[in-house]
Amino acid sequence: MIRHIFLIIILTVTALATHPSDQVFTLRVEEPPGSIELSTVVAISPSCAVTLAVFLPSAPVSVETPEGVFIPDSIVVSQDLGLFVLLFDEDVFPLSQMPSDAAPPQGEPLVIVGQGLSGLLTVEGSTVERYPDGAILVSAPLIEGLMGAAVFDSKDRFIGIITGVIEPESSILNINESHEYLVLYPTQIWYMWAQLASADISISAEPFGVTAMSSISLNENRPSGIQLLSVTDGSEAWNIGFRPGDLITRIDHIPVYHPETLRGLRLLSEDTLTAVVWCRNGERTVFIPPSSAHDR
Amino acid sequence: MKCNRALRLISSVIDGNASANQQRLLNFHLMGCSSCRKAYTMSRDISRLTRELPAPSPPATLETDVMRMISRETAEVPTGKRHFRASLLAIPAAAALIVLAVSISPLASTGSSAPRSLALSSSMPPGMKVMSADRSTAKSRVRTVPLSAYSRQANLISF
Repeated sequence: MIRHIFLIIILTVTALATHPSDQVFTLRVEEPPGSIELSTVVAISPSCAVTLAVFLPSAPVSVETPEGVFIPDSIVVSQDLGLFVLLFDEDVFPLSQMPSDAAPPQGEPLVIVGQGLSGLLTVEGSTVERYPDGAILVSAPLIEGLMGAAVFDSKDRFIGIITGVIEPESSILNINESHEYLVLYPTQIWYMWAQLASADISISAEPFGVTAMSSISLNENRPSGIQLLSVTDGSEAWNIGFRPGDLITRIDHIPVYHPETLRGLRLLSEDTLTAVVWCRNGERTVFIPPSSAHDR
Repeated sequence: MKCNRALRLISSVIDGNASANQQRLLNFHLMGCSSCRKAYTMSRDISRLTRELPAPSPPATLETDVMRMISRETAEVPTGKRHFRASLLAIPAAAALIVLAVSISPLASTGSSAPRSLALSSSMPPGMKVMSADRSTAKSRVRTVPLSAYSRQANLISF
C-alpha cells in the first residue's frame, strides 16, 4: 500500500514537472538536397506538432526528439496562417501539453525557445502590447533562431509562436521609442485550425455558407475581427442570422481574428457558440449551433 | 533488430539499396535506439557532403617524381647496400601510390570526393567522432529559418 502511494506521488511529481523543452523539438528539412534547414517544432498533442517553417510537401522532413527521429505521416498546411501541422499515426510526444489560449498581460515575463545551429536556444522576453490583429509584441533579444520559436508564459504554458519582427508605427500603438519587437502569434488565433487539421473531421463535409477574411483595424473606431464578405442564401450561416458585411469580433467572449477560428470552433464545439457581431450601430449576438458532424 | 544489423542497414538505406520493408524496420529500430539514431544522422549527413565535394586529383607529375627520386637514390647508394636500400625506398613509395589510388578511385567513380576519413565514416560505429571532416563546409550547409519582417496574409476563405 505504502509502495503504491509512493509510486503515485512520484508519477504525479513527474507529470507536473513538464518543462517547456519537453514539447519543443528540432524540425529538420532537407531541401534542396545537401542543404539542411533547422527550425523549431512544437508538440501540441502526443501525435501532433506545429511549425512555422516553410518547405515543399515533397521535402524530406523529420522531427528529432530525445525518443527518436520521427517522420510525419501527414502534413497539413495553412498558407493563410503560415503554419504547418505535422501529424503522426503514433504518439511520439508523450510529454506534450495542450496549448493555452491565455493572453499574457503587458509586462508578462516570457520564455522563448528557438532553434539555433547547435541546438535549442532559450531567451527571456516580456510582452509589450497587443497588436490590432491579435498578435502580441514581445521585447526580447533579436537573434537568429527565434523565427518560429515557441513562447511560454510565466506558468510554463505554451501560448504561441514567434512569427517575425516588426517596428510598429507610434500612431498604431502607444509606444514612444522606435524599436523592433518580436511578434508573438498566439495560439488563440491558430489553435482552432490546428485542432481541426488534426481532428478526424472533414473540413469540407459541413458547408457553413460563408466567405470570410481576417479584418484588421488600425484605428479605435472599428474593431478587428472576422469579416464575412458573403453569406450564401439559405445556408446554415444565413439561417442563424449572419449577413454579408458582418464583422465577428468575439466568440464565447474570446476575441477572434481569423476565419479558421470560426471554422474550427464550429466543427469542433459540441455546444452552441455565442458570436458577437459588430456594426456601426452597436453589437448583436448570433448563436452558432454545433456542427451536425457531431451527430454522426 | 540488433544494433549490428541496424548499422548494416543504415549503410544500405543511405546507399539506396534497402527495400521498403528494411527501411521500415530500420526506422522502427531508430525510434528506440539513440546510438543508432546518431550514427544514422551522422552517416546520412556525411554521405551527402561527400557527394557534394569536388573530386581531388593527384599532381600529373606524381608518378614521374616518385620514380625519379627512386632512381636518384639508387644511383647514390654504393654497391652491396644498393639492393637493400632501393627495396627500402620502394616500399613507402609503392604504399603511397596504393593509398592514393585507393582513396581516389571509389570516390571518383561516383563523381564525389572527400577526405578518406569521410568516406570511411559512413560505417562508423555509434559514438565515434569524425575528426577530419571539413567543419566549415558542413556548417555552411546547415541553416536556421531567418528572422524576417512580420506580415500577415488575409486570404479569402470559404467554408
